[in-house]
Amino acid sequence: MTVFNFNDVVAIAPEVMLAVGSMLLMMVGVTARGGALKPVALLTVFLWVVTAGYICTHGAGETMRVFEDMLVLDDFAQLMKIFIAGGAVAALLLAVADIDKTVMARFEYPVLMSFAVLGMFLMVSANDLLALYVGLELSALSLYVLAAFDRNSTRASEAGLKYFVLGAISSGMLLFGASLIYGYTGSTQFDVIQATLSAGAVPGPSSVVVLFGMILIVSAMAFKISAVPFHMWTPDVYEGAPTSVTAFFAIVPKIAAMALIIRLVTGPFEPLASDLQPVLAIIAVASMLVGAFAAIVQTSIKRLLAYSSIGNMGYALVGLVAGTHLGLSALVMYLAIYMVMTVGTFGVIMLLRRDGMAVEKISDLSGLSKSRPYYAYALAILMFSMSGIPPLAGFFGKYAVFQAAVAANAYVLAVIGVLTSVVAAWYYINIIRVMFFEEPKEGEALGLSSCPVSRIVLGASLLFVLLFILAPQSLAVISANATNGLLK
Amino acid sequence: MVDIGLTHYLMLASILFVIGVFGIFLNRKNVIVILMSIELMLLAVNINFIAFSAFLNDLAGQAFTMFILTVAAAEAAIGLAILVTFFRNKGSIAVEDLSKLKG
Repeated sequence: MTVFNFNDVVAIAPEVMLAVGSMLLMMVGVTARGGALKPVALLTVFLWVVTAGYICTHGAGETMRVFEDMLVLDDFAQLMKIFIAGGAVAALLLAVADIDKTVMARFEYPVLMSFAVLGMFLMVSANDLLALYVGLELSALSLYVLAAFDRNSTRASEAGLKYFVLGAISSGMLLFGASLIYGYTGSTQFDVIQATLSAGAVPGPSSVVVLFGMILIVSAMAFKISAVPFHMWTPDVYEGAPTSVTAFFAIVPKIAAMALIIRLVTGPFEPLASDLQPVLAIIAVASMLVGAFAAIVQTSIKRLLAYSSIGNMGYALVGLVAGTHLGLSALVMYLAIYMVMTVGTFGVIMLLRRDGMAVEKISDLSGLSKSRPYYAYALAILMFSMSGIPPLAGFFGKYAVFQAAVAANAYVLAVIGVLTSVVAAWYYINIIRVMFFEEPKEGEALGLSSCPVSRIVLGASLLFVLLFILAPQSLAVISANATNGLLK
Repeated sequence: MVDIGLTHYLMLASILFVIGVFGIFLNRKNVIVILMSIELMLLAVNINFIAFSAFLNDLAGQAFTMFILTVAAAEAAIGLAILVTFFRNKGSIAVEDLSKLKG
């Protein structure tokens, strides 16, 4: 047994870069005198872009396992890392304009985001329960702090506290499940667990315990993607946290957690797939229903987007329940499209200001088509895309997922998915109605943030949504290639 | 005399874990109690890991425990820090005051 293999360190160069870079940025922030947010944020974006670029140019090729099989590096992990880095760049660029000149304008903000990104990188590469736990906690601990980052706001600290408590319960469940799996399979390593379970080496009554452990782990992961019935924190945290943090929450951690679920379901828990599939199906259906119906009565945009993200995770899970290669690649494609649409939506609501703050209420948007027509049209396009209306990008994501479900004979799921997206379309289109057909409220029109970078991010997201139809196959091919190696 | 075996440790850990979970959900008074309950859950898991580790003659479980202890310490620090900011804003750490955000 080699104690230390330098090739392993080279193989995880992106993670090393992120870890060292984030710590250096913390040093930069501490030593700089005042107003360090902007330079540190720019350097963080630079760090993420370099990391993502490195991953792009150093394709995984064949699957590699490093550090005594603790981490796995394959096409799937590489693609997910690129998504995570890309989403984080967009979220940070939007955030800087939002928090600059407020009490939150501190350099810790991008540094914490960077540590969260590092944790998520470890999550998607995890090949051992220990690596999974450490990566998950690294990202979760950074996210707790970010949720409570506006420390003069009662709502933000309440959101942070709720997120912390519920997150800690979920990591307790994860650990309890992990300890049971470890005890009954004799290893924390994914490949060994898979081999032990598929060899049927776990005798009768013990297999129930293994099943229980697996359900606990999957529940903890369902918490992270805010799937029903573990979604309770989502609306509160989305509403209470500063809008820029909410944008980050909606865009990035979902991808990492979903990637980890895919890794677990296709890896160590693959021998138990027949037991797991109904559980995932129930979670998917419940998420779609709650996401569609609970959002109807919301008056706050952020709460509405919280339920929308719950519903969207439900649709994404449909691809996983299908359990086929087609389903997994549809899921990856869905995540990418969802990420871009969310970036655009948060871009609009963070650019529009009421009394210097990002808009909060749906009624704030009334008459937007008269006061800020461009933003009204931008948000309308994004809402049409979210509700899955062709020819916008959102349609292709939903289409791919439901197609995969039908191909796998999961007709019930596909039908429920289509019906709930009709219900969901009602509240997306309600926003458009408010913007275009309601009279503006008394008082001055909504202000605009003056940040050009946010506009560029918004523009890029809109271009993607509008022009996706020109090359829908390219993303499908990328997702299909990335998920190729997952199912044996 | 009954020999203390793996089952006893697992039962102890399960009971502690369940007490921790109930401590969180039944507690209507104080957020500090929630933090204590979280700690109890994590320590219950540690007992599980150590018991399995001894039973399997495998060190991985004990290594895992070290990581859990470390992360739990960081988690408690962050939880208390967030609790302090909440107290500064609200002037209370009662569970019933966690009620501003509602749908």
